Amino acid sequence: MEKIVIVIIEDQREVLEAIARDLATFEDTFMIEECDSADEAGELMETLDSEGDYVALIISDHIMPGKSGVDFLIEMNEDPRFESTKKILLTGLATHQDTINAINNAAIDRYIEKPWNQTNLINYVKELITDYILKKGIDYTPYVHHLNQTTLLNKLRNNP
Amino acid sequence: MDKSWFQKSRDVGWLKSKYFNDDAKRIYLKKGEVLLRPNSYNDKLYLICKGVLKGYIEDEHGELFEIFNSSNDMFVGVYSFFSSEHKSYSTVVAAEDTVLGYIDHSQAAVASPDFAQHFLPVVVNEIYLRQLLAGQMSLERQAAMKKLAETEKMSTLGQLAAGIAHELNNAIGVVHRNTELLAQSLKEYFELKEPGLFSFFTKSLERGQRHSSSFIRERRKEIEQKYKLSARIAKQLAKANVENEQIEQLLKSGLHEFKPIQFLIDTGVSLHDMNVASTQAAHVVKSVRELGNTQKITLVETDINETIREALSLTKNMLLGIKLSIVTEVEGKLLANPGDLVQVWVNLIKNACESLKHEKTQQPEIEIKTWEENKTYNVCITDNGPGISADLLPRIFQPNVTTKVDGLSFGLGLGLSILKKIVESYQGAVSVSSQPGRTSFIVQLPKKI
Repeated sequence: MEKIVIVIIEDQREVLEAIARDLATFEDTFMIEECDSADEAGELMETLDSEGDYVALIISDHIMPGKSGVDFLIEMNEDPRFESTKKILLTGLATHQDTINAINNAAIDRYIEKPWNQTNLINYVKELITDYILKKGIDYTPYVHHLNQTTLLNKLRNNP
Repeated sequence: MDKSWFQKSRDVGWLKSKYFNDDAKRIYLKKGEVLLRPNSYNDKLYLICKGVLKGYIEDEHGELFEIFNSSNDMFVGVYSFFSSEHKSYSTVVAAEDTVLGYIDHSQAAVASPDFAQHFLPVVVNEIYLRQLLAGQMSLERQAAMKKLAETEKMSTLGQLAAGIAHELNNAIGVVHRNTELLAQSLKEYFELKEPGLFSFFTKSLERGQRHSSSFIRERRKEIEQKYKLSARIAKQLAKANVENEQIEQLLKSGLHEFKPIQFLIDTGVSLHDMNVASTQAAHVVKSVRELGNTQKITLVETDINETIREALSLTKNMLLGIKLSIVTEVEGKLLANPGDLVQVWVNLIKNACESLKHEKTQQPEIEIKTWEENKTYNVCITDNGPGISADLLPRIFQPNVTTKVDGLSFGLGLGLSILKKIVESYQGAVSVSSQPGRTSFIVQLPKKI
């Protein structure tokens, strides 16, 4: 079975830990990869791609030493291999300009402000992963307990 | 009208020889001697032959403000001489040893009809000078009002920040204290209940999650391959920093035994992170309060490195994305108001950050170094930004010299001139050297306690 991966990028160790802990519920089915910089994430994306894994979602902080989150997400958006990968910007410190840039050039799917709410975060992740799996035409049955039921039903209704 | 008298009367030399040639009518003032006082009677018109006179007016608190400064060949006492009441409006003092010539109303020349004509240009000049002074003062007043408004805005922000800091201080104090309490109670509880696994808790409580994400990934893969475990379990084991030996033991006794271990580790790491976060928050709050405290002159034994740490926690936001290296070679203690020093560092760090960000420097870095030399503490803050232009560099510590201040920057920023004043109030010195890619500010503070 193919591996579906969620990548989290956050430079502050405690925050990275907290996001991962909040999403631990997905770990029985999806792989959660934690990175403390965009550069590390870039390398990881190469490895994941070469191993044939699916990166369904990237959740990234914006302001970090080295490459910024928005810049990294723009790169991902422009890379045909990760075209369908969903992107969440999770940040407390993006300027107006950064945000415009993130929407226009990185095509982010969700902007979440810190501090985040666990329930909302889980819902967004569910929704975006469901979209991803359906779009990629991956067999959703093994993942159904972690998917957004409404989105799934709508899809089934349209393409029985 | 006789043109020749008009032209002559604009020539001080001519007036001097005509009206001030009587050697008997001379006044010799020593430096500091007072010629006139406000409302004192004066029927003399003075011409300064040699020396300097300064005029002052007094405010309601008795403080003196200089209003004129007259030297050779200038007239003094014009108003009181020509007015009907003959009263001086200012205090006139000799700024150095001065020789004055004078004429007074007892002289026949004064009564002659030509006199007023001859002195018309002097009077006009006096009016002109006053007009000039009034104009200048009004400009100064406008500038002062503007500055006042700016200062008030800053001080309101400062008060607001101090108020918020006070409120937050209480809240964060509760979080911090209770985290410690909770950690302590859990420690005791686990020691009693899980003596065998207890060390997993204390270790993670003390150190938190200290491995990098890439290290954990490597270790996870290692465990995954070596023991043929699922990625999820392998990651948990890697994060928990469980050694191979312990993994083998766990595999023998059953992996379900890992669950309580993981619980203890997770709890320990959570409490550790809460501790770190609340300490950081408390630190920021304390720094904001101390920054607001600079008015009070209370000197206490202050650790230089501690004030640098406080400045760093205040500027944490600005420093995001900038590589920071800190080299502290000295345990520097001196008598100071910690708020003053924090303010100095905050300013230098802030300037460095702004310069790096403004020019979008690639791989921005800031280095902070402290060392001791000849009984002096040195703090050097270096950035790899574009540097300060050569024409600005010599004037950088002068008031009214600014690189840029756009909008409110949270009221933490001060001009370098004020920074210099603060440093000098500790008999210290601040210097700068700059070239593209390397700008260093060095603050030197004498060591005496």
